[in-house]
Amino acid sequence: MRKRLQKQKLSSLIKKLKEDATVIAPVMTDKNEVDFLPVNSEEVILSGARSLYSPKKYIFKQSESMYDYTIQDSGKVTVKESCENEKQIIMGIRPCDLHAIEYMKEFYSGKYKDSYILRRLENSVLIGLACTEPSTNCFCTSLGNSPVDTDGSDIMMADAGSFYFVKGITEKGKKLIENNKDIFEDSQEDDERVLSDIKESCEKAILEKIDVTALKNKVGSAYNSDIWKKYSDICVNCGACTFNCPTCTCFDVADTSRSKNEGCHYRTWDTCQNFAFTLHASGHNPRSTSEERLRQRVMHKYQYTVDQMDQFSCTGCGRCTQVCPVGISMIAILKDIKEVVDNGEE
Amino acid sequence: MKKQIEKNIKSLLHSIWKSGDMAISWTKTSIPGKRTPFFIKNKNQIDQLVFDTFCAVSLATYLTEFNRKEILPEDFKGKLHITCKPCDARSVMQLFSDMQVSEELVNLIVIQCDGIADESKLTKIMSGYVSNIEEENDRFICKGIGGTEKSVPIRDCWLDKCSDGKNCDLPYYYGYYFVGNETEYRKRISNLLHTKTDLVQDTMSPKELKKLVNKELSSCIRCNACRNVCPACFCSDRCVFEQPKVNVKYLDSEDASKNNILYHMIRFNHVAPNCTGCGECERACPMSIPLSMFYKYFNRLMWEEFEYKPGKTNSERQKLLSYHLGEDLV
Repeated sequence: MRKRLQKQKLSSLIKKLKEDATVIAPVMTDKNEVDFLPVNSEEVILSGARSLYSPKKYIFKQSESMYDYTIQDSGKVTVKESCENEKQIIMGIRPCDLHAIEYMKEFYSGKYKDSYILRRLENSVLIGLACTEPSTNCFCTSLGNSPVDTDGSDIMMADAGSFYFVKGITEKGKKLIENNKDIFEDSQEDDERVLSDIKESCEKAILEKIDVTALKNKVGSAYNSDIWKKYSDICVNCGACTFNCPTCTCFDVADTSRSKNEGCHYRTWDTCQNFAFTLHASGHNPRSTSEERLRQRVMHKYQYTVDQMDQFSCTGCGRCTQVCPVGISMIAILKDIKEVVDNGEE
Repeated sequence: MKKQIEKNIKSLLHSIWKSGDMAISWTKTSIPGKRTPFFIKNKNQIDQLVFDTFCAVSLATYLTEFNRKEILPEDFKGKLHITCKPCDARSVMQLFSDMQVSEELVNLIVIQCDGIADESKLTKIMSGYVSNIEEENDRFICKGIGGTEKSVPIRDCWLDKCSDGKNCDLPYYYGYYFVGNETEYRKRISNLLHTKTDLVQDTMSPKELKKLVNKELSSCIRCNACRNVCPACFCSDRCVFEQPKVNVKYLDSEDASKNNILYHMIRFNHVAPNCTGCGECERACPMSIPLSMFYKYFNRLMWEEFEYKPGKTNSERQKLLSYHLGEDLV
């Protein structure tokens, strides 16, 4: 299904969508940073490079209650499972983040299904947006992705000058377009060309290119090399990279009390860069050094998920590099890995 | 002139280097405008050292890491040379005062600094994309999308602390090398205008303060970046927020704004007595929380109460940790 959306019609579309769902879109915050927020009347920013913050927090929340409990005076305990059924529509998701959501969906629907996240995905409509410009740290083409990929989206949008080219991908997306068909216009025959134009100009501007797909299944051979020490020396072991990563899926669970008789069992983001992440009750820690923890992050993204799910869990958004307070670059690590792999093969 | 300073640092290091020494400095990365800390473990690595307008990371924080992990090479037996901007040197002074690092171990090299640019500010001005940066006099010439060129005044990209100028004073300490022209440097910082208005005003009522705290701190994601880059945070595995030895959680990690605010409130009160105002917490924060503004407020309070400013010398005891005989109990 191919349509056109005139740019001045965007606000009326959002207004219409808001009637039965929360609409989340990239807007400028008062800190002069683009972030995904529920929109009211602010101007939605559907141009420029991808935002510093990913929309991950609307699928996999920073923290969420899994069940609440109350203890009555008689001693009876009642447990209530948290069950969010709010509909949400996330607009302006870039292809890298769409890939990440796709990965997350697969990850959480494996042998043990995560009903909280799957329910939230079920209730979300994801509207993608092709990237017209990369950011300094972007390297999606290195992972075999492209700035106009539609995988994972329900509807894909692309800036075509005076209008957006809109493509319904899934049934859910097509239904949304059908329900608002008076806002959209029919598309012309060669409208789809805008995607290949955007792809060409955006890919040309991407600064970092290294063929990571050629390293598939080979990254593991760098496990015992000495490249990790170089980066772990300067790594300060914060979790900025993992918390801003759109594919990092680890969480911790804990209980907390709200009052004397009430409490909840909640989960929060957790990071493998933290010492306590793998700490055993016995006091033993299998990943006690910074070197092991940094290696774990890289290996998980480029080797372990390849082993388990036959895909990289990195989409090349470059946010880890952008937020690192000490300037550790994922591309630099990958280049070092490539060197080790190449030397090993000779 | 900056090239000359970089050259002078290298030749100084070459001349004082003895086998078994180690140095901490900066080097280039492949990303325009990003410099990364660099550990020089043998003499022939000295030439990879870089010092320019983008060397924002304070290396003082690595001195606290020596307790936490083994970054010293096995054959280390000499001195640890550390290159510092004057503001970072104040953090090193504070670590000396707090007896966290031995003065015998560290050889401090203070570098004349003309203001440090924040790469993320420049990136924001260039709307997210910079492919090349060149420095010309007091401007950056940046290449953006499609090769478009933009000239940006360096002053617009300065870290907040650089335009403030309150942390630029050289420490009262006899044992450091100064690279550059000291009189010229002192003249430059005396001309800095302290025009920046503080976010946290002394005249604010508790209600206004609470509102501000709620607004600014609730976006925290608890990544611990502020704590881990802080040169004044040296409790390592005895930190209140995570105690690996006993694995006790004193503060919920649940993202309720009350927890995030409490996290920072604990840090403000705990760190303020040795916070030199280096602003690393704010620079490291991925959520752009103006943390240094809060620390500045606590530092002002401390100055009013005790006339004490952390990081001035290598031997002043923390005012909240020491007392004089006969002193009135508060």
